[in-house]
Amino acid sequence: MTNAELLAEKKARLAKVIALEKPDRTPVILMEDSFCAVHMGVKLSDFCSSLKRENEVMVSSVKAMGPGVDGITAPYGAGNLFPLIFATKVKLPGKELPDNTLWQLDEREIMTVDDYDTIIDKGWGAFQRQYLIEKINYPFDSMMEQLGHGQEFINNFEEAGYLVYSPVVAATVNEQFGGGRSLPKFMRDLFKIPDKVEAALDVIQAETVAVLRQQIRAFKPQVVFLSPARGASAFFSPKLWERFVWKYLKATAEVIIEEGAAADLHIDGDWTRDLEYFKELPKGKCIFETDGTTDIYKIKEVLGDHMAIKGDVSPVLTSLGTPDEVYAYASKIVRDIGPNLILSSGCSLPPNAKVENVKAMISAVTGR
Amino acid sequence: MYIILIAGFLGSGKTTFIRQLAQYLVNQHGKAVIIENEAGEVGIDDQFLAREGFQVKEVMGGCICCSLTADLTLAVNSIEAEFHPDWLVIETTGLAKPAKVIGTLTSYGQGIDRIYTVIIVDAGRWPELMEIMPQLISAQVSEADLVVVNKIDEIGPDGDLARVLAEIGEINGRAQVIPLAAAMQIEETIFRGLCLNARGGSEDSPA
Repeated sequence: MTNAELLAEKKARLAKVIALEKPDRTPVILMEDSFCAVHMGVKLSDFCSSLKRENEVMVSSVKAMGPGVDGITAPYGAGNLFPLIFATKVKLPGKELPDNTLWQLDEREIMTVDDYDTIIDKGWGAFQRQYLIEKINYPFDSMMEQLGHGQEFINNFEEAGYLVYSPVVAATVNEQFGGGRSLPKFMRDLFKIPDKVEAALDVIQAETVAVLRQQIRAFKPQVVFLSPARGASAFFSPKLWERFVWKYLKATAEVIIEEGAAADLHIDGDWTRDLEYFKELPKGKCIFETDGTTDIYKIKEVLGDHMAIKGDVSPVLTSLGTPDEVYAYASKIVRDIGPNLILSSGCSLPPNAKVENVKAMISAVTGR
Repeated sequence: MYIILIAGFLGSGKTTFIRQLAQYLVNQHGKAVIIENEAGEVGIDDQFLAREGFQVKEVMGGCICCSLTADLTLAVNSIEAEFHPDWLVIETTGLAKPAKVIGTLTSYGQGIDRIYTVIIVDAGRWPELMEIMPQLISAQVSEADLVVVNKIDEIGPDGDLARVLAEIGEINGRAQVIPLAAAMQIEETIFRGLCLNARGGSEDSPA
């Protein structure tokens, strides 16, 4: 089978799972970036030096895992891109951190309450660029130039026979304030000036969704990754969650679906309370991607006939467990969740995951 | 090794509390190590603690905290192997539920005699946080062995400490609850009692 045929087979397999049809086998999608660097013996500082370097290392790592892997979540790492999502600084290995330390959000209050007004008056795009360059010292233009090579990065995987699960990545708009204001200050704003926060979020949402539509039309992705990482039910009262998380999550997912892609809902944290809301999204068009904090069996019980489920071999297991423990858990969810499962780690594979454990996870599908 | 796990929402005063607890442990000549697991500006001033002679280990976790508990456990095991401390103080991220951390430490941690959970609550912001994020705050409080109701000096004229204490008691009737203002000097008897309880009532160990 040629790589092109392999790729077509993997895309068809994934499409079946998303459409809630029975695939020939469970697809395996690796959500990984820093792990690839460690796997390939590359220092994290070197890995983070450019998106091109990240892509090279990630392609090598996926190839080394073998053809049983269907694909990878994104064509490059997340660390350099965090400021675009969280409006906050990120400490990088080799710069603010030692060479082999994982990147870290440097969360502090940089955005001010007055910035809500600026965003409402002047719009998000102009504010964001100036804010990132002047307040965070982010290499905005360089990063945009690098992102412009996105199709080449995708091709590097596809030519090797591996799909890029989500060539387009989006985040719900509340992330910008959760990071930029810092979470404690953002929470206080929700308590004291909710109307102003919502007005600013509406401005960001309108512009973000317009850009997202363009990206989907340009890349024609099968899936779009949508992260409401700090939107977990556990962090908000029901009323605030509905107003400041679900409203934007649902609207963005609907745009993704309207543009012809499936929405991968990257659900970190505990969302158990609000699982029923997800039934409002179209059937067979979404993937509930759990990091394991929301119990995968509960997700199946509530949403199993409505959307695919992706996950959830935990970082604890991949970094601290044994291959037998990983194999046993992965095999169990493959069996129990059934044909609607996309096997993956719960959130990203950590850099200290053991290679033999990742292989054990894959072998739950391909055989040992 | 006895572990004191300190949790509580961002800005509740964990750092201030830990500084004084750390000083107490030093004064009692027990070997103590601190793990900082918090992200952002409200984390521990590790330079300060290092100057005071503590071993401080910072654990980082990328974007949120999905891999933090594994990293934390690896750090605990490495500290146990390298320092064999009598006491290990862990500051968890303000978004963490202690049960998850404890579960992982219990399964994969090495050299741990006992884990004692202290939740720091900001008395002044209690009504606000219970309105904004009741599930997280309740989950944290419900898992505590000791709830420190901090910043009682910052309760405004409309504040009601008795009501805060009553609500905490409703969530967790098992935990000891101590109101205080960590910004001032915390009485040594509080730390003595904390350490005694953290050892399960035994006075044999240092500190």
